[in-house]
Amino acid sequence: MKKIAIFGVGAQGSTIARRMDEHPNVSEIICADYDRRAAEELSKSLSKTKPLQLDASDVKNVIKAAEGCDLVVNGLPLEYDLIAMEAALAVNASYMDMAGPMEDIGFIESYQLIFSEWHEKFKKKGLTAIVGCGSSPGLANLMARESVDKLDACDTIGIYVFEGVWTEKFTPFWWSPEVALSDMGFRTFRYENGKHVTDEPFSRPVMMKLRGIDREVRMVDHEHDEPVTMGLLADKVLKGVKNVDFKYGGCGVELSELLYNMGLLSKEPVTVKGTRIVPMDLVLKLCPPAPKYPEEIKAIIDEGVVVEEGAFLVRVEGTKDNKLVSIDCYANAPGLVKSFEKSGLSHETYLTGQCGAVFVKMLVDDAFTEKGLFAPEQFDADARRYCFDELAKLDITIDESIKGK
Amino acid sequence: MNKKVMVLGTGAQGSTIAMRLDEEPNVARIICADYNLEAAQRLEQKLTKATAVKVDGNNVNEILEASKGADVIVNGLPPDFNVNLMEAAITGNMNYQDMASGPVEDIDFIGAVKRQLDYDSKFKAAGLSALINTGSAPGLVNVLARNAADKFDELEHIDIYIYDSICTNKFIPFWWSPETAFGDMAARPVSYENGEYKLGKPFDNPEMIDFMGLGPRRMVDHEHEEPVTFGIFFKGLKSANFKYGGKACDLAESLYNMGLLSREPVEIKGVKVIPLDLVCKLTPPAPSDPEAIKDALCEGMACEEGAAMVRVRGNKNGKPLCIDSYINAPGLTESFETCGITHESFITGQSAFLFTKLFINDRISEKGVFPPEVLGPKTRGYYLSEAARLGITVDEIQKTKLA
Repeated sequence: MKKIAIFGVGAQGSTIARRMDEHPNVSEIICADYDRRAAEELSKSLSKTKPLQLDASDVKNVIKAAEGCDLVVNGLPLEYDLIAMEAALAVNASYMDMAGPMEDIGFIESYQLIFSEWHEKFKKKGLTAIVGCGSSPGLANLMARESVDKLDACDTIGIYVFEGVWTEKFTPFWWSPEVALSDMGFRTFRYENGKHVTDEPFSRPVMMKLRGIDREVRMVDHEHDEPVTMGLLADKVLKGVKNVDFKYGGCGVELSELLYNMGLLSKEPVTVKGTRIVPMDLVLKLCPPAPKYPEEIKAIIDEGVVVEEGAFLVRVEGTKDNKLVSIDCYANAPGLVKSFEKSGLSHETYLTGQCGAVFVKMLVDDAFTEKGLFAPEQFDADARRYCFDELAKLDITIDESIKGK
Repeated sequence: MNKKVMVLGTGAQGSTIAMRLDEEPNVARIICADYNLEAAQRLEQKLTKATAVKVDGNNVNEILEASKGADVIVNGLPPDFNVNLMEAAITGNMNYQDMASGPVEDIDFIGAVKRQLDYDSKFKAAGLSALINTGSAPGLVNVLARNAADKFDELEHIDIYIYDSICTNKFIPFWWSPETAFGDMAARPVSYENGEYKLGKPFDNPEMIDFMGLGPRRMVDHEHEEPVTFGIFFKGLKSANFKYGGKACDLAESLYNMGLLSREPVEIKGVKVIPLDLVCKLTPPAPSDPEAIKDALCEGMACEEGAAMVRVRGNKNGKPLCIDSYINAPGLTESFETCGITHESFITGQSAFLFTKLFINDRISEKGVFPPEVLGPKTRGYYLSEAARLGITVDEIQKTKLA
């Protein structure tokens, strides 16, 4: 029986808590959040949970909260990744997060740090840490590795996510607007000709035809983990991939791009009629929050869903038997209405939260027991198969098509 | 060659009108007036018949002093100044022309049109003409609406659709004043329905309109003058609507949805700010001089598509009839290559100039205050033939049921 600490019970953390509450091998779940009410509300609806108010900015608090746990699940913002890892190591627990880390040294450098120093720390203690384990990053990395393993050599990996859910009630983001708008305003990363390259936000727009969408849609480069981790692990597990990019499109991206172009995502103050104001502060003040509770999601659906379309594609190109091969893997998952009908969740929470829950379950079930710190593209075939099978039980499936010359 | 014209306001449209007037044989002198004397002088230097003068549009006496002897006063200022200039026109015994009734602060478009029409009897008594709303839309579209409407036995609906997606890779959200654009976009649209005006919500009633040569595009309700004047001047009309679409409209809709076009103060970290003030501060200005337009074009076009269509529906010989009139005009690249101006100035400034040309060639017989749909068939015919000479043509498509 395992005891789990979940730090941060927002959309993803609470979904993981719900799934683990049903797991026979989980004895207790500590639901810790800075927002005591959120932790208590969640705990009321579950049977194995214990709510805890947590200020995660002090590592001592986090260590205390994790005391006695076998697994630390980190659902906090990226800047808390290393604190949560330190706590896991201090209490001899395994570790899982869904993105990051983002330290002042830089995104690539932060990943380099955890793949080296922190990998050794976990390994030395005989513990397992898995990082970037949501849908993207997470499932996308598993899909990429699955395809790469079918090739002799890999040249290019492209991850393409399009989210086109638009409702009558103005709901620009289905996850934290603060995180979304900050992410969108960051310089992008791609791995190009064997090197990491950074670029302007919303750079390199392309029109793409994605399965299930009846027109070409505009996709732009976006700051994400996959080009960073896959570039760093290119020779180790991805057969020497030379190019990795992440492109994003849809309503939220379009809105963010125009706000960015207008200078409204800037954190630099501007003087307006004698008053100094940070544009991003105004945008965040005005942006409606992402719906969190089932009654909020229901109200939005009841008011009307205007457009509900999306695509999640991982395209891997390389050679097999000296011939060019291209493998497209599309992830299928319920949309907004179906996700809500099935689980009372939004499509966003459903996909990322359920993927996160499957990765946690994998650790609870000892389906991945390597010691050290790993990104999902490093998982062996059995661990990947475990994840795909568990995801299929939750209606998250993958369609693969292989094209060769 | 005997007419004297005052163009007050030498911005994008005013200067285009003045440049075209300079080529007209019937024009002896053009008074280029602006509060910004340097802008007026820059224009004066390019023209042969122009005299630059500084005029404050708030001051009727200044307008009268500067316009002495003018036959017509062309209003290129924002609509807030309309009434001042109309007062000056009556006092100075001049005909009057403007390009829009609104937006005017604190008055909706119905009020903005009606406050101008209230001068009708004064202009009539003075034997003068005040031709209002004379750009492309409103303006040219009103002429097309009347031309089409005359072909019906029973007129039912008039819809105006303007789709504008002309974007350079350099971020230029609007090709006319961003302040005016945001003001227009956030205002409540007026529609005319069964004898009544209705004020809707901004960006309401989205509809996919299938434009000839372009395909379906999303169009939304937008505040404009046409439904207001059509309700007054097209007898028996059941409905009139104005819909707008394109990149600039999409941008404004997003900002509106975010609350960023609000004029209500918002408190942020202890200080109050009006969102629209911040947006206006951050929005890059519309390029006006040729160098700025050239700079924008140098970075390449991201998208260059547009459509302007007047759809009139009703009955003819007992059968339903629909007439679509499409305006053809050059895009940004062609407008700049041929005239050194933007597409916006090309179509709006030149459409307005053509109405001024009606004045200087004595083609307007109507007296009082009226919009272009009041002009008679011969005047409209002359207007459209002159428009064609400037590269602005119209395609008409008639659809009816044969059985």
